[in-house]
Amino acid sequence: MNIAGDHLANLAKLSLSEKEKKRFEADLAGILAYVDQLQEVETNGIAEITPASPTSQGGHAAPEINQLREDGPPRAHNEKEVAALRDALPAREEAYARVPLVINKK
Amino acid sequence: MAYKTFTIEKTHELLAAKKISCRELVNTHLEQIKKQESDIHAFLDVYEEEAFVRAQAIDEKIQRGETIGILEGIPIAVKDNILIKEKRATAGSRILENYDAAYDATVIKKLRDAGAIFLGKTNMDEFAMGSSTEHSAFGPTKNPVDHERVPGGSSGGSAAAVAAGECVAALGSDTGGSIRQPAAFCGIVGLKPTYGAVSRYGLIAMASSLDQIGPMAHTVADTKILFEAMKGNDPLDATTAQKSKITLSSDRVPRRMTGQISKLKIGIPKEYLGEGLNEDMRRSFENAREFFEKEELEVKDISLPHTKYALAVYYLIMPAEASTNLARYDGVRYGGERELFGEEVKRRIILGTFVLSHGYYDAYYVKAQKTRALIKQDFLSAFEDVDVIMTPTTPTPAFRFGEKTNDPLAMYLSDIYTVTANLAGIPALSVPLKNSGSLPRGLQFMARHFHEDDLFALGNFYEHH
Repeated sequence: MNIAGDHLANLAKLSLSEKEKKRFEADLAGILAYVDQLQEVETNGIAEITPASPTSQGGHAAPEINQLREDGPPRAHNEKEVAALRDALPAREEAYARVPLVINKK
Repeated sequence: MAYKTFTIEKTHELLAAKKISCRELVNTHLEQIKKQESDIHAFLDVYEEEAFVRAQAIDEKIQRGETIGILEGIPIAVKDNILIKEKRATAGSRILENYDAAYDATVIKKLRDAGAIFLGKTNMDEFAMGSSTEHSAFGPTKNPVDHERVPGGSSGGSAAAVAAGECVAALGSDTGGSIRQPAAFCGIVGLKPTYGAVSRYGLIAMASSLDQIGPMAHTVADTKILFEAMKGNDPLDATTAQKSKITLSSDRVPRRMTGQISKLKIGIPKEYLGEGLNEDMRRSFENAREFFEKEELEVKDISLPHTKYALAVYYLIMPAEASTNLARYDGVRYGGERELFGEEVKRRIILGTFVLSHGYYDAYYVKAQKTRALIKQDFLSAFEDVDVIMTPTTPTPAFRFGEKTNDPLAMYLSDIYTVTANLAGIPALSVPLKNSGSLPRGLQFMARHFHEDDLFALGNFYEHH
């Protein structure tokens, strides 16, 4: 696996030093070599377990039906909780979060 | 370890009989914390003031002659990835070093309503990624039994706090063994409930299809008390099971803890006794097999054929899910920049991102989820024949600091017996092995989905005979 091309680091939104990239490439090569044994498992026709899929042989361990809430207005905002969430914003202007510029207007 | 704390049951007895006040109880534990923390470092935050306030209220209640519930006044420690409102929750990471939780986890609300007293938050591997607590951004925790050794992880702080008598019981979380392995290393009891039995609302997510919150305590009876208080369907966590499943349908009577266990059949999977199992561990484990055979329980050898793929499956699914869950740490809504992630976290995010990326998703992630279905099927088939599966919890006892930090794969291998329960969603309990020598070792029981009562019955029996 090649992470030197920055593709993975970019997808993961991590900026890695050259040293880290080298280290991870080596670690991951070892781990991927270990997990390669899965290629020998016969999985034709097996439904994979996904957290979203309910029931049956391939389904997840627990919920067999989707749990839906009542189709009505959501519970009222808890002002204290909202204030706490706002306080957690690292960079803020009144009720807004300040974020780095994402879209470049050219 | 010179100081040993009481069990929940015993503590409750003393409080109700006014043989000890709740304030004294809290004070005793805070003293233990003060005495040992510079050595052990199990706690990240201690709530001295609040604990005394709660204790005062409970003492007044007792003075008024009111009866108290079994958990009322019991000092509990909480792993730092479980949110307590207005209190710091770091998940062992610099990213959340200054983050105060905006709400209570459902389990916290339930335990608070039951009167439990939270003594503080315990240390853990960063974002639950680790098996030794060496990956905490705030320094490691030491195993109270041997300070040169790790307490296990990722719930190492909780395990150490219980083992050191700094609290009566603690909460941990388990994604691939993070409750059971530290319980085994520190000589206490730990339960990973059935997936869906306990709400994950307010648990800082690692791998959403694997995580469960669970109790860690001195006895099986104590873990049962905590489990009963925490379990339940929760509208705030859509992956919790329906009420009827968790509380058992009316046609099935839950097995009493002190009742007949002779009808329980135990299966020992041969795949868990291969090479890699330390010789002393094998011997201690075989003693456990003999113990049950002497008690005239049917013990048979079984096979779980896909066991050897379990670790590979886990180390594909878990990083994939974790990389997705950790995408929320963008430094915008809360917390610090992604640069603050520790090395192990970055490693797993990169691995997970790779596994989910275009061109590799089918070969790795989907393949792993299909193999997972086969692993689960192995268990379902085995449970047609036996009721409880028994294995060692870990291949070795607690290792020394630094022994496994240079080779990530070597660290991952310490989870080899525990990941299967998370993959299949079944409940699993680790209890201390008898005659384990100078270091604690764990004995693991696994049961059918929602059959925690079979685990408690067998574990309790083993503990008392």
